[in-house]
Amino acid sequence: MTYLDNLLEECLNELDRGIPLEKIVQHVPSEAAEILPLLRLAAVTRELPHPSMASTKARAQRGRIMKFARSNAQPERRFSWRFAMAQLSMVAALVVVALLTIGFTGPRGSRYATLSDVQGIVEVFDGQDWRMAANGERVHAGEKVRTRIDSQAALLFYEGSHSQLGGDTEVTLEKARGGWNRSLDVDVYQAKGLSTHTVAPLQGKNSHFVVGTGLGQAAVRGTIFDVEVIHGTSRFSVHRGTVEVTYGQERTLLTAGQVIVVEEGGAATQPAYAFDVQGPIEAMVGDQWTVGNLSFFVDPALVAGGNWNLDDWVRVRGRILADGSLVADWIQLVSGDKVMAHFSGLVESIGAESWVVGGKTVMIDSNTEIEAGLAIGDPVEVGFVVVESGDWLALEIVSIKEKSVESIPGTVTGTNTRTPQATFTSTTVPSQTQSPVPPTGTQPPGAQLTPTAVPVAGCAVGEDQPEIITLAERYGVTPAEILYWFCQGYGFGEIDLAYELAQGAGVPVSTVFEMVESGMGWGLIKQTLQPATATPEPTSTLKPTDEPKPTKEPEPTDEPKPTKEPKPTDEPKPTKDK
Amino acid sequence: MRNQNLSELIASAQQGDTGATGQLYEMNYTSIYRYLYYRTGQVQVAEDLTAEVFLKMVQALPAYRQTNCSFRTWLFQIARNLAIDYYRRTSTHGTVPLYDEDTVGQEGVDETVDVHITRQTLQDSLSRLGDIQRDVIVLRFVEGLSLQEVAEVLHRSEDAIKGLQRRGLLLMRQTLLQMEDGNDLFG
Repeated sequence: MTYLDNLLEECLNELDRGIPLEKIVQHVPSEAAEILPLLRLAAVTRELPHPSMASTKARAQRGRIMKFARSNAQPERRFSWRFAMAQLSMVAALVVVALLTIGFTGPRGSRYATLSDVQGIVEVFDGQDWRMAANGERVHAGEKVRTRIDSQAALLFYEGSHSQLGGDTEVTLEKARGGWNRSLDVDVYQAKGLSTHTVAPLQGKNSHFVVGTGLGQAAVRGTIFDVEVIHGTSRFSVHRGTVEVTYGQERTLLTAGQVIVVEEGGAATQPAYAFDVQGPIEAMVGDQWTVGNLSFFVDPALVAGGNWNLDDWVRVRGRILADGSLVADWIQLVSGDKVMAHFSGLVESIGAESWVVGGKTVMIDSNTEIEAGLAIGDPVEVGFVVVESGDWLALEIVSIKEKSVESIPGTVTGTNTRTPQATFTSTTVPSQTQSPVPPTGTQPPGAQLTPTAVPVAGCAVGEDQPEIITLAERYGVTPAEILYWFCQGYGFGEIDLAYELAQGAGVPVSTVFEMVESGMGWGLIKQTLQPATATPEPTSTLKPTDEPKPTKEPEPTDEPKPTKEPKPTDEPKPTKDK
Repeated sequence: MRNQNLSELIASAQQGDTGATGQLYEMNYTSIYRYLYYRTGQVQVAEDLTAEVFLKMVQALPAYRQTNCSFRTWLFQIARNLAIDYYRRTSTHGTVPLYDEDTVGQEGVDETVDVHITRQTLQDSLSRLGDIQRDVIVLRFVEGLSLQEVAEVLHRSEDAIKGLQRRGLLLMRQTLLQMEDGNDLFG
């Protein structure tokens, strides 16, 4: 967002309040030339007669909608003794048949899942068509459920287990059975999206709860875990208990706090501890993003096709790699106003001012809520914020130790040979200084511009405009090039600043404008383009080392302080030269 | 027809009052149709999708919670989803017809910017925008939604909408001026 974006919005609001255009632009004389035509266009667009549906068609459509609503509503019936007796007889007969049947098939409620917590747009595919779903609806084996963006629903199973479906998610309930001993045998196939499964401790040797994705499957007996299918990968993460993940010929047992990503082709990442952060996007520099002061690597494929902007509120789930760096697995726009961050790991040391969890040092203070009875070796989840110094300050530390999970019959139990050892060492805390590597840092300013530097029609300024000549001379480029950027909607002040930053950093000016287009403020762009400090190169691989060495219990004081990052300066308003 | 406020109307429709459902249709069909018209550029498609929006509304009303988002933005979310589905089904994304029998005439002139805008030129200039930019312009300046409402419909931050709004207007203006100059790329 730029100064002009804000200014236009303020002027539009004044226009809405009935203030004449000429009066509005009097308050902003230096920007009037840029703002006034846009305000006029907005006003004309508003006043234009827009199309409307023919009234006969609208009436017919209204009738159709109301008829549909009527057929959707529950029919009201008058009470009739004869009808009631007939129904009672039928019910009695059905009860006898049902009693005989369910003796063999288990409780009736075990053969379907009940939809609840339906919010937004949730649909069920019953084999023929997608229809809107409502709370209380039953989903039987073979039926699919999908949620749209910003929607959600839960599938409740008869013995208390449930699956929460996030937005833009699709699952098929492939199997749902149960027995009189409260056993549950469920197979869910997840085609896309995010689901969280809370499985009550399963009873009996025939109980299974399996979620498959095509790339892998998770089998559990009593736990809470997530399954995410996005961009051709499947991500399995565990909140409580243990989950056996099978992919290809491999099997891995994940414990609480751990996550694994299975990629197309069957390759999988090493199990790693998870992080989860929600907040506004504060920086997007190449493949390094910052949210809630937390910097992490973003695979371009993960965000391809999306229109991501600075200050967009997002939730990010990812992994903490063995070298301490963070990598995002899943990013989604959310509406929120509170920055939240969590990560998980084993408690490695407990100090008066700091703890080490999964190799990460987190500071604690008098406001930190710590669950009683935690000891070294316990798996915990830490809610934290990144403070100004770059340290992680714990807000709460809670146990995610499994309480009573039985071993899974016929699956891997015991030692998990692939459990990652968290070995964060000297560069544990990622900082924004790792990232500022512009895409084409060695190219001279303006090198890529000439092919496109053609003034567009409708930009009624000549190349002989004094400001254009001044800027062209100042930066050694052609007036046509300056004019090109001016006609893209940038003010002369912005163009001046962009060239200054580009030449200072040795990058093409188009890189700077790309940053502006991505929504970065000038302050952040300036900070980003400053020469990188001596921080280690980001790891070239996403996977931790295969055989991480056991971590010694580090003393909290041995932990090097994270790199301090200068706070971004306030975004300067571009100078308006016109 | 009873004169109920919107919340009461929604509650009544949720309880199966078909009259209330009809009123909700009356109150919103024009906006939804207009949005879908500018989104698809085809009268028949816009009409069909409008009907679909309200059929979905009837189905989804029991689950609708008035605290989540405004009813109007909820309807626009349904409409947008259906428009996206339509493009997926027909693979005609971005191919907005240039001329349509319903778009002739009705001229608005703004001498000061030398832009003569008709419904047709508006539609042509909108067709040059990306989906999200087009949505922002239509929702904001045709439907009169607030910045916050547009952000809700499009699942973007208000700051992102401000940027899309300014760049969308700039691009529209350039397109309109090109058309005025006879440089109409539509040929």
